[in-house]
Amino acid sequence: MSAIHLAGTARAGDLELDVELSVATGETVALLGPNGAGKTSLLRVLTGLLPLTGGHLDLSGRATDAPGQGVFVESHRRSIGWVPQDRLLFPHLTVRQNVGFSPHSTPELVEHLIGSLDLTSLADKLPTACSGGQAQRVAVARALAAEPQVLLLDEPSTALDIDSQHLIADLLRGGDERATLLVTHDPVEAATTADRIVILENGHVTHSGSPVEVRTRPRTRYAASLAGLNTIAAVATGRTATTADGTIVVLGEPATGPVHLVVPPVAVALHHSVPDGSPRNVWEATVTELQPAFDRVRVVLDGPLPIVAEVTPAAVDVLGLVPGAGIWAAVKATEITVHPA
Amino acid sequence: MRGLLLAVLMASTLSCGGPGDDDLTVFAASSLTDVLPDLAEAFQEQTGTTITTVFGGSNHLAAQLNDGAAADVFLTADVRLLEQVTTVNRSVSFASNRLVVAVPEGNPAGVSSLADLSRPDLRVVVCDEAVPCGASTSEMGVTIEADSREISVRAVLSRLAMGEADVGVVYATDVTAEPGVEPAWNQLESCPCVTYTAGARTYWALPFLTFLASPPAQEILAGHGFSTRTPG
Amino acid sequence: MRAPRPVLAVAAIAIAYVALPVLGLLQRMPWSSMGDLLARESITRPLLLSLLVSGIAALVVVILGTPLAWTLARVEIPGRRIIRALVLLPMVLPPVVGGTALLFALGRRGLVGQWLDRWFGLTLPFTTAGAVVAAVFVALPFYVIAVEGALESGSDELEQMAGTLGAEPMRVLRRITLPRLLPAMGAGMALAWARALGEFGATITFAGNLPGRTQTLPLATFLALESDTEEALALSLVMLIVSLAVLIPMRDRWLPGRRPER
Repeated sequence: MSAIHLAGTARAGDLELDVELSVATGETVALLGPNGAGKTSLLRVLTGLLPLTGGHLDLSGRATDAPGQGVFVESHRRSIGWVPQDRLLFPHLTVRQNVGFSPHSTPELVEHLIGSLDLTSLADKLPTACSGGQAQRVAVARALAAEPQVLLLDEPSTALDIDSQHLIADLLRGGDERATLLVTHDPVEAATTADRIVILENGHVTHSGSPVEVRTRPRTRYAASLAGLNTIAAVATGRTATTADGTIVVLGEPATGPVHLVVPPVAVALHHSVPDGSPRNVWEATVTELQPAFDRVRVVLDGPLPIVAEVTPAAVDVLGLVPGAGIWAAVKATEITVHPA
Repeated sequence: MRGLLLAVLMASTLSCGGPGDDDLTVFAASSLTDVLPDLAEAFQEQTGTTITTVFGGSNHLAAQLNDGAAADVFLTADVRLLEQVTTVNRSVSFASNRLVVAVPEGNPAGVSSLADLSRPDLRVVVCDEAVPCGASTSEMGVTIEADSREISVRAVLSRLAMGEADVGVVYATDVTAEPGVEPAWNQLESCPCVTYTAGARTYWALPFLTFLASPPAQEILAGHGFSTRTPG
Repeated sequence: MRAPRPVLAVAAIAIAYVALPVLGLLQRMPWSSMGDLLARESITRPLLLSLLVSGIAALVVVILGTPLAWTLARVEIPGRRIIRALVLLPMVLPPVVGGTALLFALGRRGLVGQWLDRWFGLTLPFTTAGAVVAAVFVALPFYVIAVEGALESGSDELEQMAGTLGAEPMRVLRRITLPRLLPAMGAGMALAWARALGEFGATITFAGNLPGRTQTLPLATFLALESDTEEALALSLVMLIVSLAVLIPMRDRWLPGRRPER
């Protein structure tokens, strides 16, 4: 059964939200997107703070927001737990009173959550006495104390110490009876905690799939950038595309009009001298920066086609890659994915 | 431009009396509000001097005079006040006003005698003793169960006219002036009453005092319900 | 921060402006006979009546004014601006005009008053209740301004949060809105009380003047000025002391919005 089933529109300021989203009970979905995409607005629709302008929203199978039928269930009647980015702890209540605020909570559950999140020493203090991480734990405990069927977390790990992150993650893992929607801008967090990733751009869902899918087959520029891929803007005319700098790139598939060219860093081959063979795109570049990344090194290149290549540390030595050095770069036309802009 | 002219005119009329000035400033007890304009008009016809009037509770006016307000004449029913206002050098009693037990038009509570003033079931309103009309009221020798002691006789009159009070004690002149109020019964001319005295504060005010005691003024006063007395 | 000299100079003048009349008053006080004066019934009676009337008025103001302020701040009703102007009207209306208006509405022949009289035998003029009515009329706007200001400046995100946790509106009001509003309510109540205490024009026009029933301190002072200056001064001293007793505890805040941020 879907805990959340949304197919509707809403308006938040200048942004027009038009979303289709389903989350099953027990599922954790990460919501990613650039700033202003409408992620927080989407959460507000689910909490009942932003009414839909069209379509419908069902929570736990129950019609919750349907402007066409005049249905609107108030926030306090929805079974949702919301942990907003700025937490919104009640400043005049102690930590324990905060956690136990919901009329649906029980003292036993409150004490259990306080214990699980290591908040016992703070239980009788006011929120001002809490650090950022502690406050976040209080906010999560407070939301969970209501035993919600849907849990909404907005940027839960921002400015959080490692211990707090672990405590919260442990607690969230046991959520089989609820659906969790987690808003984040960190693809690593999304990949590690979520069953599914939904990408929201400009009010629309542009991708919904497993983390692996999103990473290997990004459909939009934003999705590509999440995966650390190169994206280049250009105008395509058939088998070639021209970048803003005037560089002509040979494509593997024909296209026309404004496009984004996606090139995985590993597909950029680096050579001492002009390579021969099949690559259609070859140019001379200059190394501007080297970025070690775990067991690889990302090489930032400048030239007719600014791009980032990814090589092994050994290759760096062999090729003599240092900032300022010249190098030949090559990309096979077939390695370039073309996205309409 | 017209505004400026008007302002200049008004400023000139507010100047206090001076030699050759055709204007007198008169401070008067509020119970003279209805009669004084008529007196002023008659005086102006006779002498050409205009009168600027300022009405108020006698005590307040006396306080202002003591603080240096520039008035030529002070008309009040409270002789003690005249004595306190230090610059008076001539005075004349020119009229008196008797107190009347009054009721709203139609006498809705059926008041018929002085004894009704002590009935607790009636709304009785009189002047407070601090004002001249109140002092006179207590001299009437009747026990009064008042529901309110107003600070001016006009306030008592207003209560009666609005029907908030069933019976009250006001001046005969007030009853004459206010159509919504009538005497509770046909009350004979009798005192205790209140005597009005005019006190001059400047020499050029004297003609007005003489006028007040003269037959034309006395006639006007009588027409408004005042009892007239011979100057003395 | 070091204040610039001209600012301090003007502030000093402003303080003198207010302090001088008070000093003038204090300097004229008959201190030697003050003890006997203050024991007089003509002083203690209006004092007690004033405390009673203004105290009850302050409570009524809080009871009526809080829902009103909340509605004006949080509910989208049509004509909100007109209603707000209406509520603030007693602040700018001359008190005597207010009192007269009250007579036309609630007097024995008033719009509503006549029915109160006919059906229940209830009349307000000439009664202590009438004095309370007049006091509430003039003091209400002060309270509403203070509380509505606090509600407007604070955001309602905490209340939204409480809603998502399952608390229905009355519970949110009780546990979130009101506790956070208490400082503003306190300041508003003090201002309203001070205003009710000093009320003269509307009281005397509507409720009248009778010692023990409607003669509050300001009325008694006014009348005493006519006859007994010493008593008037003593009454003025009493009013001064009572006013300071209300205002000094407010020394850290004049109006809401200056409560310490949490």
